[in-house]
Amino acid sequence: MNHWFLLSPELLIAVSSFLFLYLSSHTKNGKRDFTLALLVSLGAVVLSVMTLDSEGSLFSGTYKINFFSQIFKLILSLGLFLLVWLSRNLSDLDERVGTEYFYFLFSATLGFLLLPSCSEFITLFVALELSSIALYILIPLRKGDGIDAEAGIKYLLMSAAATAVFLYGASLLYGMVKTTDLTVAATLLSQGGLSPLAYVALFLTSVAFFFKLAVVPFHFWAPDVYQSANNQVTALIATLSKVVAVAILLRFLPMGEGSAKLVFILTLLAIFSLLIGNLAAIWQQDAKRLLAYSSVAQAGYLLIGFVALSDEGYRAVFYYVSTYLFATIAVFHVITKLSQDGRNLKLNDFIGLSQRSPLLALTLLLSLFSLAGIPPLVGFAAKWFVFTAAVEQGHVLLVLFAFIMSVVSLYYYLTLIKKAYVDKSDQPLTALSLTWDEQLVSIGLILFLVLFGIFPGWILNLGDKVARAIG
Amino acid sequence: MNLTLIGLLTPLLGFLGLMFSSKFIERKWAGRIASGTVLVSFVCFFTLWLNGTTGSFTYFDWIPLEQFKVGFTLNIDSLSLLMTLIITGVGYLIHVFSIGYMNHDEDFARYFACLNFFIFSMLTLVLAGNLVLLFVGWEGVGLASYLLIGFWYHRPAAAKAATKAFVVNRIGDLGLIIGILLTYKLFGTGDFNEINSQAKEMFAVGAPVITLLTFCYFIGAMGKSAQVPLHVWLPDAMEGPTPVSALIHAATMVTAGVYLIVRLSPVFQLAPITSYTIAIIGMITALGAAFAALSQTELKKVLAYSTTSQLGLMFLACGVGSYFCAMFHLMTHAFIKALLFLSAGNVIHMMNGATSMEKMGGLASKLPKTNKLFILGVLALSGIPPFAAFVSKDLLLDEVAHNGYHILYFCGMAVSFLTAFYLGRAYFLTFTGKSRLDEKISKVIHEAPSVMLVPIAVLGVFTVIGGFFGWFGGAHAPLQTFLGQTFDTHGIAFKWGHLTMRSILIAIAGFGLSWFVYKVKARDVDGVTLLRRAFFVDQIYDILIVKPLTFLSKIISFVLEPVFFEGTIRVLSGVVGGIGNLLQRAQSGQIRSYAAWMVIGATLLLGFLIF
Repeated sequence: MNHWFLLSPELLIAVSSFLFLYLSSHTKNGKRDFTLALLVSLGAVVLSVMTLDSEGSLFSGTYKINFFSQIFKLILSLGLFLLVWLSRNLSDLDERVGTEYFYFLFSATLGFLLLPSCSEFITLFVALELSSIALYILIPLRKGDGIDAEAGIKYLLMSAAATAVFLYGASLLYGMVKTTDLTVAATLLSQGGLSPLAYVALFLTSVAFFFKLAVVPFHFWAPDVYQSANNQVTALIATLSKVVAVAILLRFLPMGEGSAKLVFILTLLAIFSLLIGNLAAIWQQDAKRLLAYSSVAQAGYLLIGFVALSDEGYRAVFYYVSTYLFATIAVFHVITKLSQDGRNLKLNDFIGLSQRSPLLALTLLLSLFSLAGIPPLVGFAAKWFVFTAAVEQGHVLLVLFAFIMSVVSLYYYLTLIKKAYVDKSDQPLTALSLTWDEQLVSIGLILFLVLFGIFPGWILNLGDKVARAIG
Repeated sequence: MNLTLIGLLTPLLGFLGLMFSSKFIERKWAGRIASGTVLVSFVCFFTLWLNGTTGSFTYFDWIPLEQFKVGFTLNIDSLSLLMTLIITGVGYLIHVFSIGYMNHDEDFARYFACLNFFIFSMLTLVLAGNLVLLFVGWEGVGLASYLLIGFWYHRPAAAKAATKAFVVNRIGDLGLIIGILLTYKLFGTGDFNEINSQAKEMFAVGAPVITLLTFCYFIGAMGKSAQVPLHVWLPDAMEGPTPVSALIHAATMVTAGVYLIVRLSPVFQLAPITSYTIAIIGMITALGAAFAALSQTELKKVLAYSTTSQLGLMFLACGVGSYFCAMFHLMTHAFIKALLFLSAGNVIHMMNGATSMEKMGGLASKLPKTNKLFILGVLALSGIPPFAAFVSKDLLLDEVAHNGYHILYFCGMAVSFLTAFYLGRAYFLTFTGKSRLDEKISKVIHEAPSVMLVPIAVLGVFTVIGGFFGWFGGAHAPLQTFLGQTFDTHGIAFKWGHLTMRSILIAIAGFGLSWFVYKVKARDVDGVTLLRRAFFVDQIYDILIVKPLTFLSKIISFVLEPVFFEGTIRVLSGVVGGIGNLLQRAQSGQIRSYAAWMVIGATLLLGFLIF
């Protein structure tokens, strides 16, 4: 197949981001930008589907196309499509920067799309930075009092530190194997068992992605950034950024298979993420801050899948992250709709939602139930697979702990649901009417959450293929 | 195999369509769509039967877990085909009848939607190729019965009856769930064909674990098929619209228990203790319900207890190992009971919903056609030749005697006698004698329209000829040969003998006695309280189970809960919340401290790695 065609989703996004850059210096037209972005992201979805089963190696072997990379590209472009769709109403951005928003959104996504294919450290680093730099600018884009700028700086500094650690790890690896190619490095490293230095290098390179996943103790940025960034950007950080981090960790961590030390470290990370994420979330009054801590906890569950370090675990991780993406987008769909002017929502803003818009309340209910892991939704199946994979490798206590923590998590998810369904408002409620496409997306997400929870087989089979494509 | 899927899914489509269009659909279309889907389904299964299709088809993997593999498997064999034909055939007639019966009800769309859902669930139950899928249908039937029994939910009695049916069924369901889990533990599969073929090789006759397993199934079957002591929901279920009673009693729900036992008959054959228990329980049910039916004052309740009683006979047949007789009686009973219920429906409909026989009498002249159909059903179920239940019941009791259960045989004879008597009583009190109608009703009452009469007439035809399927041809009777493809139907063939003469005489004696008492002597509606209240089983439950539970729940909710549990929870949540509060203080907003935490964390982890 033509090499350029293999690269078509990335090329489309790249070209369109330049187009947005060009448009931003000309007339401002929010509606035009939105329509264009929606069409482009839809095109990216189509192209990802078309290249799903292709294999190939580009740019002197530094860039690999296989099922692993393409399925993640498909998920990412689907996520992008939904994110763009959420960005119809960017009322909390200055009108001047509306087009730039799409430029940075697309260039961040370009970085994300490149990452799963990178089979070499330098390419990986470039793609990682491409996405990060776009995020540095997106986070403080919101118009307002400057607190967003503070969060932007925080993210920049912390991310820079994480990147530095990554580079340090990468250089250690290079020092040991004298190659930047990941596959070659993996085979060389595993000859005769991993040396302590190899562990250190592996861990240090993974730190950049633990940072993106907001795993404790690399999570401190999350609550501040979630709170300060505008709703759509938060959704971007909460979804695509995590999916990519998981994709890269799926490439890195299997190198340490069979190592008790790595398992121990991952267990510690999982335990602390679960503990801190779930307990701190209880106290939050700001919806996005709550979601930030919830995402820390969710990263903990994901790590349990990694702790298993088995094909079943990777399969479970894939299922977890691909369903987590849609559940989170469903939550942000509710948030963006509810917050018409783009401001942050307090928990009390959800009061009476079930009367204002039953469909939106149902979307919120099901997506939060899914995040909490209540059957028969996808979140339950995801937790189930992750837990069984870990139990099969003998991590019973860890799973027991995670189980208890998921009971704790019910508290804050249910608080939100209680606000939406039970609590009475002292002010008169205004009806929230959904347009036809909002209804369509709501119903689509609801069906996804329910159907793939009852019939998880299809995504799980994809996960099997992903697990096979890693090795 | 696609016909199977179409046959299964059309009623579901009907249900969904009616649910979503319930706001604006016209009355006549709701009825037409609902009956149409069931007719389509019937045609599908009829075609399958004509083509002689058999086999099990897996459409997709439903639960692809290694230790718990469940496929969406539909099983087509002579047993499931017979069941589907009864369900859709009788079900279709009941749907058509309902068009007439529900012609004044406002909520017709919901009614027909639920009816379609009922058929869909029951089809799932009998077509399921494994226990888990069967359980889906099993629960679906429970839900549908709940919705339909409580259809007139604004009546407290109906709402209560629906809840009762649901709760009692849940007790049985629990037994079935444990049975399913145990099956997976023992066989590693829930597939019927695999279980049935492996059971004999893996376990000896009388193996304790098989006895336990079959007991679990049996408890499930008891709930659905209303066997003592889980029979209490069935008489109350009369609160639903009469066609629903016909559907529950004739074609669907209550036959599920018998079906389950027959489906797993190779396993039950390995458990003589369970089988014997089934026979005894069946006999107790048959006899007890027959006695209770003697004193009922409501027409529908007589029929309800009669159903319980006949189901008892089917369980008796299963218990003595004659699964064929159970299925044969199930089939003939389906026709006759549908006929009886729908005729009773005519009466009740024309009486504006009154069900008490105290207000009836002398209706033969007002409803001449219904009268003829009802008497046909009465004679048939009483066991008067040549009607359907005569053959099936006689064969059933012969089989009991033949297998050496003489006491049970004589009890069965008593049931026959009682059946003829109470059905005769119900007939004479309703249709003959002097009228006890209210004047208002008496003036306007008239024969039911043909949309209600024709379905009953069709059932009447089957009531006449239904028995022949298991009669002509002796041991090679068509039904016996047909079902023989699926399970062991060996046994004695129907033939005239002194046992036959005896049972005919007993049936005639029972019917004759009722004729003498209620027609010649013209006794009024009467009843022994003990019998009318069905041996006070409900009251006994109330004293033994409900009252103590209410007491316990009061202790829990007023003493234990606020003081002990809530206190503990409060302490626990206080601790959790406290830690959470502490943790979020670490989030100071100071980037220096963030970085410090990150570095400390990473260094500690690195330390673990190196040392």
